[in-house]
Amino acid sequence: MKQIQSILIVGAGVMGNGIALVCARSGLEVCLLDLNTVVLQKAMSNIERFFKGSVERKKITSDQARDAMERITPSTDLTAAAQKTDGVIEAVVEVQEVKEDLFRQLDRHCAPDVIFASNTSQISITELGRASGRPDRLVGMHWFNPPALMRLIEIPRGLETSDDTVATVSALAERLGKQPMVCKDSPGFVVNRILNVWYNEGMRALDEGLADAAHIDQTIRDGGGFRMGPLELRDLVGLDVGLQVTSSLYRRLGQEKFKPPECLRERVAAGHLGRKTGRGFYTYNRK
Amino acid sequence: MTACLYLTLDPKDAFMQQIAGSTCSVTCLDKIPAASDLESHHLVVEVFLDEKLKLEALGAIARFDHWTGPVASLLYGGSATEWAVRSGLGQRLVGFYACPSLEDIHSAELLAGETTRTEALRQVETFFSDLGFSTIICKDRAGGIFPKVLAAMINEAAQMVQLGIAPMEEIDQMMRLAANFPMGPFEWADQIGLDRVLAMLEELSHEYGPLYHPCPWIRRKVDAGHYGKKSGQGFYQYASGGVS
Repeated sequence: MKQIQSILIVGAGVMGNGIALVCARSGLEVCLLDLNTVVLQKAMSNIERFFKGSVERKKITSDQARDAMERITPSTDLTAAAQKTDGVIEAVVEVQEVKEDLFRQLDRHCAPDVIFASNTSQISITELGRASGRPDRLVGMHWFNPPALMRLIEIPRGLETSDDTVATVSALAERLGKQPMVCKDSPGFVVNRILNVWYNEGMRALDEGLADAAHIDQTIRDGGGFRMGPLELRDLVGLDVGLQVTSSLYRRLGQEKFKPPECLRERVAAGHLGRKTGRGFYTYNRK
Repeated sequence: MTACLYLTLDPKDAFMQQIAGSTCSVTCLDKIPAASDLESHHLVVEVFLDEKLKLEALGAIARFDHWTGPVASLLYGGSATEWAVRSGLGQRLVGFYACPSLEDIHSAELLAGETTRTEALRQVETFFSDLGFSTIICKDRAGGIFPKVLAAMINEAAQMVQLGIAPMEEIDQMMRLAANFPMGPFEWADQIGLDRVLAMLEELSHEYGPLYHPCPWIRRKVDAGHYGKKSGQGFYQYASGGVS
């Protein structure tokens, strides 16, 4: 098992930049890659702001913040970045063809012993492994949002993923102060699969007219000791995201429990995507 | 002060301890009430799990025509309508769902049957909200809202273990860590009792269809008498043994 000292993170969106700062904070040499320079610049200033906040809250010293920041190199050059890294974490858009294309390119430019980890939440690790040309050295590394705070990392292993790859990525997660948990590569892995039963049950209660949205959330919150109910959380995360995730689970598992509830589909069709549009299951005052 | 007659077989019933307090005096009874038991009580809360005992107790109350208070009956399966009609309590029975085995949860879902009078529903609602409970009124359907959510999640988690996706201890830990669940699905099942979870799933598949078919593993656990915390073993083993 090799220890990863340098990491290439592909995709500088919300997850990519969060993962980059966690890696840099733990002493890894990080290359944050995105083809879009605007996204990349935004990611770098987000990371800088995060470290500044950590200094203000006295979590780290200003020297540590500066060192961590210096360990991150933004890049738009995949070929160059791929040649000098020990490992890759892929955090690009959740489109299978895009990810497969990326892994094929990485396979051409990375050293043979470089391990690929995908932050996908819903694409088959086995299929990505096959596309990458190194199925034994590709594994899932599913982070939760925000990466800096959430401790769990799901490590779904594909059919061909080797024990050594699983061990290497689990060790990396631990070094980053996270709790890695290995699971089988299956739709939604563990957390999203169970969470979607929770979401869909809440939404089906609305479809069935068991109570109104506010009371459904109230009873699930108070009865279960949750901080938020499924409908208000769906509004926060985005109804379009929810529809996409549950549709994918339904397609792959073929089980009715993941079938997108009517109330979700009709709201997305109407453009009511939750807080971000001012309306979802609830109406929000837009500033 | 509200005087409540509480019908349970469990003398240490956590739910009873929740409702007994400064605004409510509770008389606990572990058998079918006699006319004299009902006198001077404003309402009855009944939580018998056994169907036969439940029916006989509710039927007895219905027959004492000089006592006309409301009866709140904890549902494990069946609708409020069904119990109201079968027991003969008709207008006075209000079904409710709560988690009697979870001490820190003060939440109840109230279900009025087709025959239940609004007044009875109001009285039961006032009773619970005066005790500081969060209450909602739910359409009269098996499983209410939250118990149905919970049973479906436990069922899914059990199926995932059977499919070898992850071990149960890890699934519990993952849900706590990543989804902020106060408990993992298997810990939850052990807490409320696997017999109740199974009964709920059977009732749900009867009401809503195959979506809720119980995972065979849960059935095997119940077959083996592994009911959860109360029997000393459920999904997990409890060193201290059973409480009842």
